[in-house]
Amino acid sequence: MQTICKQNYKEVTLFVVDDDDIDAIALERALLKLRLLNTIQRARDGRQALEMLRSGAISPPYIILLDLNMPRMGGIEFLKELRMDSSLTHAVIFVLTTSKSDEDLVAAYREHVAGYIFKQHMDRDFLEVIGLIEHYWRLVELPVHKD
Amino acid sequence: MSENDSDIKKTDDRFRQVVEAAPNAMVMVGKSGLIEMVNTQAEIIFGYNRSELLGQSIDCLLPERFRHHHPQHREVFFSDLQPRAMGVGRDLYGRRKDGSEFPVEVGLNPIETADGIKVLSAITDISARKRMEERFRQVVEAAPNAMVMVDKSGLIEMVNTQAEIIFGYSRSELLGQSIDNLLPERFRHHHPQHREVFFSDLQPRAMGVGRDLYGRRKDGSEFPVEVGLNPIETEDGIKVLSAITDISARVQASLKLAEHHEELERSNKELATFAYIASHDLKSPLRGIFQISQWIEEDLNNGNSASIPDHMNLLRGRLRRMEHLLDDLLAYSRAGRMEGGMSQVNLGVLAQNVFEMQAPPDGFILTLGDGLPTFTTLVTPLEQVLRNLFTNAIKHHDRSSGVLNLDWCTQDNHYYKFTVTDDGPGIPPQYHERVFGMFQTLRPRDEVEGSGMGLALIKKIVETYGGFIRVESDGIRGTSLHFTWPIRIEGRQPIANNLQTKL
Repeated sequence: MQTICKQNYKEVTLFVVDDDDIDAIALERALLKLRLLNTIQRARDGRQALEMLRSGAISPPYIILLDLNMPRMGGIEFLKELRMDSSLTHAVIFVLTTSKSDEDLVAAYREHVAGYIFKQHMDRDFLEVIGLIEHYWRLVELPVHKD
Repeated sequence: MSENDSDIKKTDDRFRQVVEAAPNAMVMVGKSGLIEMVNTQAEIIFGYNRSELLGQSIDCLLPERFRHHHPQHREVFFSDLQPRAMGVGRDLYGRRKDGSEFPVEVGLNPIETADGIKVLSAITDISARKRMEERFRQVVEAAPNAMVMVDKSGLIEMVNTQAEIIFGYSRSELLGQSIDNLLPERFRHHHPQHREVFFSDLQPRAMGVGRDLYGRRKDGSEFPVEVGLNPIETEDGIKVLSAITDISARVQASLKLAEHHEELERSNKELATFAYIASHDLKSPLRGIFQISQWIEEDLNNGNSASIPDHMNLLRGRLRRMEHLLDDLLAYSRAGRMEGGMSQVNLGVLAQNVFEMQAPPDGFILTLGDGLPTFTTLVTPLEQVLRNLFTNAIKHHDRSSGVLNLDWCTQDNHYYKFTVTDDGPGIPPQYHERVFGMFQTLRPRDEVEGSGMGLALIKKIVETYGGFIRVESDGIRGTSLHFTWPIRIEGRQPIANNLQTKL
């Protein structure tokens, strides 16, 4: 248990990139329900997310939860730009979307997302998602940052 | 009888036998035109007995109308004795005993005999050939497309009525003229060359395969054609018979087909976009509503009723959003169809009315360019465009006061170009294309409530009437939206309307 908990010296930040307030609130509530104290930070579209990441506003380690349909810059566009940025390219990203389109799915995995999660059901979704991501960050070594 | 006499007699007999055996009618006359010898063929084709002909004038074998000039012709022949065909270029006729006529071809040969120069005429009944020629003419005439026959030098020898119709020339204007007159001038230069190539390799074929061919009417106008070429052997050499089809209608039809195809592609693309959008943009408020209802339940179970008013507000917000999305989607699908009637409109007055209908916040004003046009047009869609542009400018303005301006100019003589300019936050160039997409917003809906359909709707309306829309902004301050609108809208049938009348 010792080794597994080592990473918790610094709790993982959840960086939510989603234009929908309700989704953001739902994630917060899910964290609360699971009694997790991770920080949630939020951008409302891809452009804002890139700005926040580049300015260092998001403190590592972080996991990005990415919506695809957003104003200004959508998720796929964001992924492409992020992967080309050498200081951000390693980011661990889960796509969390209502888009069932195969095109989006393929495009997302082409940009090496950790998982493509379809927000299909309206009820237990976020609990499950947060549950999954909690397990993920407890088990998986996230990329080491310079600082 | 001397030996010499008997020799002459022998030669004479042989000559008579040769004449008798000839396959066509032979008639020998003396200088005065009296018949001295005929063969059986001559008896047959003219219907006389030999005895009836001998000693008679050759003129009895001619239709009366030609007899008058015959002695003259005969004199000319005797003055320059050479074998030749009679009456070159004229139609010759023989006359039978019963008075009926038939076309003939006559070869003339001077013959020296003991009692002077005689003329031996070989006469061929060419009725059959004439009939064939006539039949050929009739076939050409009856052809459903224009036919033009030219000789090796490109001079027109025969045309049919269809050719007269499609080129607008009368027959007499065409015969003997160069075929090049039927070509647009820019193609004439190369035509003799092409013709030579064709004559060097005589085969029926289509003209100018892979090239677009055009005919030129008498009035100088051009039309697309398809041309088939056929070499024809005639008695006076090889001719080319061209079958020319006016394919304007076909070209028009294929253009129309391409247009419909494009329209279909566009509407298919729209449908695909719609499906994508329906799965996200329309579903997301539903998901939201479902979630909020769960929170309300959870919070009530936990005895936390203080959060309920917030949840309810959020819930109603989502319902309103859903309603907006559906309304705007409907408006979009109807764009270009609900056009009402034509009426005269003073654009300055219209714009001012539309602006005031928006109930703009205090501090917002509309200024108008000089001399905005008054013209007759479909007011409803034009009003819809202006309304959406004004709504956008006001809704997305980042200050409490602002100035909107409507200006205009004419473009290409057929369109007005209207420009709505605001002094809002502008749209960065990288989004200029995206803003015209369906359900595209540049700010989260939770910040600025909007369906993201406004510009998509305007674009669809403007393009329905053949115009275009373009955004101009440096993304720092101010946006100009330029759109064109036809000056005369009648006669231009929007595609969406056509579809509707068909349904």
